[in-house]
Amino acid sequence: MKSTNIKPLALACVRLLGKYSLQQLVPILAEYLVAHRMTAQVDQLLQEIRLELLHQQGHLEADVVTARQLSDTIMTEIKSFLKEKTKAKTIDLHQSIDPSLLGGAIITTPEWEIDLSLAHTLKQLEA
Amino acid sequence: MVWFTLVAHAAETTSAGGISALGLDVRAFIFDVINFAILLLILRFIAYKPIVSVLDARRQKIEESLKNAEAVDRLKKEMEEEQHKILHEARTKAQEIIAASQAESKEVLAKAETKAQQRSEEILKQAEQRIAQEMHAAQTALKHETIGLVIAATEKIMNEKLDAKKDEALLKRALEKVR
Repeated sequence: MKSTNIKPLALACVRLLGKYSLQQLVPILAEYLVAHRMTAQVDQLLQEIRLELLHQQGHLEADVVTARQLSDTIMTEIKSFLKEKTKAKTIDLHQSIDPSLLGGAIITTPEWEIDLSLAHTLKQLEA
Repeated sequence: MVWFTLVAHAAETTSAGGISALGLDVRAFIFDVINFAILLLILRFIAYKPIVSVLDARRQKIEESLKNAEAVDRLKKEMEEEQHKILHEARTKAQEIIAASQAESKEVLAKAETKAQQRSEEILKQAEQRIAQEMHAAQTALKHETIGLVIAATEKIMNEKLDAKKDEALLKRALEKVR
């Protein structure tokens, strides 16, 4: 299957999410991907699903990578920032830790990515 | 011969007179005169003419020689004059050539000096450029090295000193900046 078919599939997934729960939908999607030999394109599909969720339902799934575990206060601050930027109604943040960032965070949305890490700032200095 | 006989007779007749009294033999005298005249005539026709012609020829030759000598002298003078003229021209020409060559050599020298000056300026400029490039490279290298050291030091300090609270404050400021 060509990658151009990812977008309709992602759209279909978003529509089905309204009818079925995630637990019901994931095994069916997995079966479909295996049957159509699309397992290599899972990441791309998830990205498209996130994008469609944002566009169709105003729901944002974003990744936040930080150097250490941060408090809920700053997470709320990040959500507020993302609402401003994406006009999303609801936001789910997926936080992960990467000590090499030294400080700050990398925020990734389906549409863009912003690197506010200390490591990035230092790299910019070096350049 | 008749004439001779008459002369002899006259001589005989006169010899008997006063002259013979002086001891002069008139007949012998006349006879000698006649002989001399005959000898003169003979010499005139036999010897005088060839001698004169030889002398004439000789004189002509001498005259020709003199003329030739004059011509030679004249030619020699002309030649000397011509030689002087040629020498003078040659000297003038040589002086002109020397002057021209001096001017040319001066020009060549001036050109060489200008060229040398230009070349030295070019070399100087190239050296300056190279020095500037090397300085720039050294500055860049130093800058990179310094930044590397700063980063390494910052990383170490951040790892040790940056706690969650400070990190959050840092992130908050960063978010405000990009808003």
